[in-house]
Amino acid sequence: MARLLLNCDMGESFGNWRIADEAPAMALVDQANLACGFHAGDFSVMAQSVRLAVEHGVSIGAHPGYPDLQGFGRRAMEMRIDEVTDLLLYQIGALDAFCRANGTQVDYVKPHGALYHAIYQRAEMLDAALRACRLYREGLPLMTLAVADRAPVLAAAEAAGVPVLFEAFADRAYLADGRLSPRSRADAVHKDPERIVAQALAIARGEAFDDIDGQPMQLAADTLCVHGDNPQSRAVLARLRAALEAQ
Amino acid sequence: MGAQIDLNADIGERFGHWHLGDDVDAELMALITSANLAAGFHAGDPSVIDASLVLAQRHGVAVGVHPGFGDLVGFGRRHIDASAAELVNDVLYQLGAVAALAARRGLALHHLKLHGALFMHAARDQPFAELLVEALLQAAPGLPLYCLPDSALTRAARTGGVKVVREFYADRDYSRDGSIVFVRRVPRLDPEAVADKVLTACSEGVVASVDGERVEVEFESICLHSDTPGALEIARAVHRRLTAAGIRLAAV
Repeated sequence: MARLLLNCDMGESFGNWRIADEAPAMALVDQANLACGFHAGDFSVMAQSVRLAVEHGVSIGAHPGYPDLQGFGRRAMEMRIDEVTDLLLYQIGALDAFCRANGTQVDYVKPHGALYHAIYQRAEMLDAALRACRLYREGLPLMTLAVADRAPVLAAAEAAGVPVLFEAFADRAYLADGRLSPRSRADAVHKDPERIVAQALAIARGEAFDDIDGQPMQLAADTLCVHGDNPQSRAVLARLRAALEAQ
Repeated sequence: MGAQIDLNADIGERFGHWHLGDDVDAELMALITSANLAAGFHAGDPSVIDASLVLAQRHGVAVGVHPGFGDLVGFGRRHIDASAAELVNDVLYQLGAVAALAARRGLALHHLKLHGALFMHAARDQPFAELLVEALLQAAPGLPLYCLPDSALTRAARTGGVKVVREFYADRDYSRDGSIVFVRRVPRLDPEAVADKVLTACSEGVVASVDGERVEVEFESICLHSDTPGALEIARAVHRRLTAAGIRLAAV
């Protein structure tokens, strides 16, 4: 079985506002989810991020979000289903233009923030995202949350003819159904590097780990979402990479 | 120069979840006497503006609106070739927005200072400067303008009877002719050297130009750019030096 991959949200600067230097994290991840201009990332940021990913041989995913710079795409927006498909197509196409200019392509689509959450919470939103992937390019995968019951997602994806990449989190606590514990809970985000690495290894091996209530749960995933925007998160990222490669 | 001077800085240049560098607004606000609030077009969203208003109120700092070109990506630093009429509407729109948020906090706008490329455009473009002054006489009569001395906007304001507040730029170099040497990236400056320069300008009305000439300067406000590296240390040094020299810091 393929190694559990590491993916990271990147390219989140905008104009004069800069997010930390992303080069160190780019050297450690397999997949970079690049913001496409709607919630973060302007055209120059997109161009620079694509070049950085290509330099490091990192696979590029489109990371489209709601059109909400002010809210960083984290606020749910009411939108018609056909608008959601168009919203995704627009942003995938924009990022792919920069990829093509650098001799590569968008390898997958991972929606951002509130849009990401809506896709695993509402079947019609999942369908809209799958439709955008299929319309853009045959075989373009959608990255979505690795929930406990994958059957409905797989059925919808098969009907749409779109591959799915299931994504898990090493630093987030889970509810019993495989959803992420809301950040409003104090224990929603793991701070202890040991616990983060242990959860990552359990997911990689298909073994059980503790959910937020201390009950054993199991998740199968293709890729692990990581953060690399500060020295602490990068230290954990380096450990995760080494631990997964030693598998 | 009297024994009183205004100290102004640009405040609220955040947007959504982004902020600039160290984001020293809270610390700067304790040192300055007037604040130029980004008004949403180049930086500053409504909640950022409101937070800055609350902060200004707490420190008794006079609040001005700081309208810019509608260019978030370029931070209002790029010229946009828009008509004078369009630009005047942009300015009034931003003025109205900040004035409404200020009124809710019981504050009135103290001044208007244009931002970045729009500030420079108004300094050079006489038709825009004149149309802006004409519009402000209707929309915000009595509102002072912070201006580059000897600029198109200063001249238009004087002709129209609008109060002008001339600025001295603490963290910029001056040319022999008294104009500012504009640079894209300001190097890290020695705060004490800036404080020396400001005190000399306040007490003697002169500044040393880049080529060592003594240049006369007239101004009512000192501008500290909040995005200059080490801006907070510079503000502290200037504040300390002027206060020690018995110069009172107060909004115009």
